[in-house]
Amino acid sequence: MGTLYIDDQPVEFQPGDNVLDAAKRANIEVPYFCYHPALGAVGSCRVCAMETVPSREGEQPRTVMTCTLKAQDGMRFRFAQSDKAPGVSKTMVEFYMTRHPNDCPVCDEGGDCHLQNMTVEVGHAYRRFDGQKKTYPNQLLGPLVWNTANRCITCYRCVRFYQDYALGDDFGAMGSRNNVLFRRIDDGAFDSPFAGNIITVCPTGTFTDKVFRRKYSRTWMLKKSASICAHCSVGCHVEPGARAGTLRRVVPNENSAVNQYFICDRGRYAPHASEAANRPLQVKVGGQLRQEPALAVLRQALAVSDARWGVMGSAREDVVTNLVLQQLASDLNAPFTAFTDPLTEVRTKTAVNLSLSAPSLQDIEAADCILVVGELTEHAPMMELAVRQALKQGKPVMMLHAAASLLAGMVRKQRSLQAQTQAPVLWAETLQKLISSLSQEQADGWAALLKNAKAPVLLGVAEVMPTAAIKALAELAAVLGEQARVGFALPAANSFGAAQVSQAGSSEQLLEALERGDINALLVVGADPMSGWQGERWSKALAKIQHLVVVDHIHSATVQAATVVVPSATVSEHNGVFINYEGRVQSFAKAYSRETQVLLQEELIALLSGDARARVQSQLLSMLGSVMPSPGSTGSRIKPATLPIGQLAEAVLGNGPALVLQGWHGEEEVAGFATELASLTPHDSVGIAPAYAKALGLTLDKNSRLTISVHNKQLTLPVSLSAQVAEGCVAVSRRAFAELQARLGDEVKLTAAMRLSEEPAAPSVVAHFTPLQGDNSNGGLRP
Amino acid sequence: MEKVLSRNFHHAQPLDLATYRAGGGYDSLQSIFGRDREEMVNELRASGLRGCGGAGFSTGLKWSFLAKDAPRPVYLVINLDESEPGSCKDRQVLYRDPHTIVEGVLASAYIIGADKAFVFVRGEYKVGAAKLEKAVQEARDAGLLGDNILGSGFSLDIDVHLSAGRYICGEETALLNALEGYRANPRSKPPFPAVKGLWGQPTIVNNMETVCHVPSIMHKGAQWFQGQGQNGGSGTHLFQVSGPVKNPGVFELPMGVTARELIYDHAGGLLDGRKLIAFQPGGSSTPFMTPDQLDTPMHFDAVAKIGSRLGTGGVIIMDDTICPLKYTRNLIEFYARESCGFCTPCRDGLPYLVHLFDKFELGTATAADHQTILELCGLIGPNTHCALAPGAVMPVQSALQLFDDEFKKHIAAKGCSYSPVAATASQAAAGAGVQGGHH
Repeated sequence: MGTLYIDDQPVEFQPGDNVLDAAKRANIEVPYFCYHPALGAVGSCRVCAMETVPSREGEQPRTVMTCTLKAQDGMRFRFAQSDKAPGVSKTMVEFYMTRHPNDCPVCDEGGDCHLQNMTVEVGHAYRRFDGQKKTYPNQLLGPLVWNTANRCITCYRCVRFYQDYALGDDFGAMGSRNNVLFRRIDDGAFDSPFAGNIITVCPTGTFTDKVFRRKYSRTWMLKKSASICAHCSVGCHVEPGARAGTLRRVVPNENSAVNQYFICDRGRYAPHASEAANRPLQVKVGGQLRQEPALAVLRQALAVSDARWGVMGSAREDVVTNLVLQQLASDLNAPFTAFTDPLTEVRTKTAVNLSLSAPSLQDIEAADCILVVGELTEHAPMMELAVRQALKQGKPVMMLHAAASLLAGMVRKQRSLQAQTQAPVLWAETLQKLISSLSQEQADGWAALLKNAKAPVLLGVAEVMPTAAIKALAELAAVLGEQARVGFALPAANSFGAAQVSQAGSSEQLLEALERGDINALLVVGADPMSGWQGERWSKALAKIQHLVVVDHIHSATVQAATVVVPSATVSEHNGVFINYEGRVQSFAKAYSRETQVLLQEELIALLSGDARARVQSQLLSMLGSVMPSPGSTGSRIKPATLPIGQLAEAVLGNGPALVLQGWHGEEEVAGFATELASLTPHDSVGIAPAYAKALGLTLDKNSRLTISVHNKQLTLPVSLSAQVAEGCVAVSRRAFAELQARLGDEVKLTAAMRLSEEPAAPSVVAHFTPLQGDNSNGGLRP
Repeated sequence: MEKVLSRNFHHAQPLDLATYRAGGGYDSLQSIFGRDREEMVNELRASGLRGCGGAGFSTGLKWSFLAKDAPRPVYLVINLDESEPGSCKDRQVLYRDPHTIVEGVLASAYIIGADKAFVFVRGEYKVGAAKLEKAVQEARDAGLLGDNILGSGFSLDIDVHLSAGRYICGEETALLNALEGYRANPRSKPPFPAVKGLWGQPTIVNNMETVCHVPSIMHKGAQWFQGQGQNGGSGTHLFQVSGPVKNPGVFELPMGVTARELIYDHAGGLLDGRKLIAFQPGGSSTPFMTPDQLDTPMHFDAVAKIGSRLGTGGVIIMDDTICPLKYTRNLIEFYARESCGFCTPCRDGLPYLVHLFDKFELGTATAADHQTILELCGLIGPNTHCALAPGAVMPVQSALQLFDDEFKKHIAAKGCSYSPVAATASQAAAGAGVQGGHH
């Protein structure tokens, strides 16, 4: 703490602040470009000039750059009162404008542009430079980010985010002098799951949102709200922007407790699933579209006389919706669950019970030793970005995983990262060994790193971790002591909340009730049981029943099988409450209304009896405490009582290869319907370690294909040889799992299949980026 | 005066180790190894040796900034990225007597207690780097480099690194970035390299010529070194003269020799029929000196006193056949091209200046443009991240003072009276040069 003076006004500063930080906090409007609160300053733009006030006689006032000057007590500056400093800022902007195309009227950033604001602020209104402007070639960067190179003012923010903050290496500064360009070596989509943030940090229209560009609106005409991302359990704060009843873009919403300034590409682009061409937007009964209010149709459907109901909520629907459904089930005397898969239910609840002191993203960033179990990047990208911050500072990060992961792939470049592959069934044993070696005096390897750490963080991926491994990870944290924190990436945005409303073994009970024929009607809200881990059982069970009423906003397999389809609202279209992986209660607000009749989840309460409504209220109160957080505010964390969990048999170590999940960071139930993001989905392949293939007697190369046989199903896929796949495992995508109707850990048979043609592989860019139909992917420029 | 750096230049080939040692090479190590380091640094301060790379900072003082308990390893980095137009002194030593460099590096590394030395050689000096590499290998084979050198307990190896190019690598922190494999952008100072340099370790960065003076100072004493200079300068220096003179070249002369002696006695004076208009005393980034300043002693303080800088001691002559504006434009275009592109005033301000100079050559300039040049120089110079742009605008500011009437003449005559045809060339340059590019 200290005080410095700007134009004689006292300005308080915190330790570590530079002068610009302090000035910004005191609401002094200092112009700046290269500075960003998350990225710091490098002093490249030279705009934030102030003039020093001489403290001693004979000293001359100097112009200084406030972004690189550490604040010290008693410093004095002239800013508005200075004769020189404004001239410096203005001239720097004048220099930018010798290259900037001044195309604001046709620029996506126009009206919401840092460069525009600063240009006006410093008073550069008239251009005296009469030379020729330099032009630069744009680069095609895939379906998500659009590049207009001429607009660049070379502030280096994009590359500082991409390389220095997010540790990406396929994008950087190229060239020199006034020919510095920020780009990839080749055209094509970014490798990083966080690439969309260069749009956020870019102070000009150089990098813009390509999806937004295709359905553009001036940003001040957008309807916005404070919302929460619905695409993983981190619960990042986002701001959806809509116009004319359609979603146009999603940007991160600044907040101090969760994601701070950034979001991942899944969070930015998956919400565009709401604009998918096949989204259900009208009530459909018996295959016929109806022009009737959704709620009335739903009431009617539930009133059929011969039905014995079951009710299914969802871990991607909000807390209130699930509570209402639970009470609706009790009104209907029906079994209720919020889970589609018994195994996921057990794992989620086990993880939730052990997450009471889960680390926040800031805790992860500040950790001095991290152990990651599972492919974190592919399940909770922003949680992994926090891990990268610790990695960047050279803090040891250890990783135990079974399939290829972007984090594990950084092992060659990040010296403090160690990754070990192992089949998931062995993870619990490995963690137990780690626990026992902690108690030895001479702990070595990972145990020593964990033991010596002052603030170790243990992170697991609940969906892919066997229950025993989840427990072992928490036990490891307990053994390490109070300074250690353990947290789990949960399968969906509201998995924590869904766990609170479902009884022990609820999904298994509902499934069995269906299979026995105890119930003959099912109401499903926001879930897709038929494509989940138990797809086969659900498909068979649901084929037998007469009434399948599905409320959802994606064209899922279950929607396609439904007798009654009721369209519902996406997270941007209604109000609600999510509980994130750390038990943080966060509410989101509706940004816009669709023009067609979609059911708002909060309307479901109208289906309840008076008593049930009162029960919803009291349960909500007891679960969330007396304070309901307002949208946009950082909610407080709840510490619920331990949930009862039923017993369930899990996969054991077999002789043959076991199936593990090859995740992708852009993948999630809803995200699959976001056209542009989904177009980047990697091609399906079967991942296997070269050494393990050899041990199995398979001679494989890049043109090989393998046939996977499990139960009665077969699937032939090209081989992807990767040392990142554990011994004893083969890694396939969710789609392949669905096609094989297989489950995690299933033992499979592998046989060599016909090889791919020997032609040289197509360039990776093409493989990465399938142009969308009708996509004018070079932005209107003729090739 | 005794030749130090150029003492072996009369040999047709660079000396091999045996011949070099026969001439007294590496003898200095006997007076260095085992001696108290602090005492040697003090002697260096007393000798008046100053950085020969252009800044002229006291070498002894710079070395004393290295903390005694500095975290290990400590690096010595030799800046042999000689790219300043008008400077070619380091090249001579590199090509003609590389063992002098090895000896200088070894002596300096011992004094500062460096664990490893790097010699960063300009990319174009590829052949010279090979010669230096050979000398380093000879020294290694003879036990002059490696572990426990000559039983002193001191260990050192020298790594010769050939630059990938660009002028900015001569800036010490950009050089460190380049050596680490990053873009050659200068770093923010503080921290200074002596605290946090190469790979975050304490690092001393010195010009090659500077360290080559160290062995003889240690061998013969500070007094002797001071006596080598004249008119208040200390030691000798490799002066260079280029431009329209009869005998351009590199001359080892006492520090403090007058400019007149240098240009007329050693470089043979101007070509017949040419008249000296002005000259830059120390490379292309130094302000002009005029014929009435010819009797100025060429040492750091004396040159600074009359408002210029000794720089590298690379004198560039401007005679009466060349347009001073065109000359200046050429300099500024060089700096615009060599900007690393990091900070705004340099990256975008220097090309702006080139554009304004082009207008004078093309005859489209107005009095307002003259004023704009003056104003921009004042705003570019003091507000950049490193010293490249201040160096670039210094000769421009000097030209604005000295050749004020030339600017006015260009405006009045709508073009250049020196070489009217040049207008076409400038026009082409304006289209395809720094301002143009990529269409």
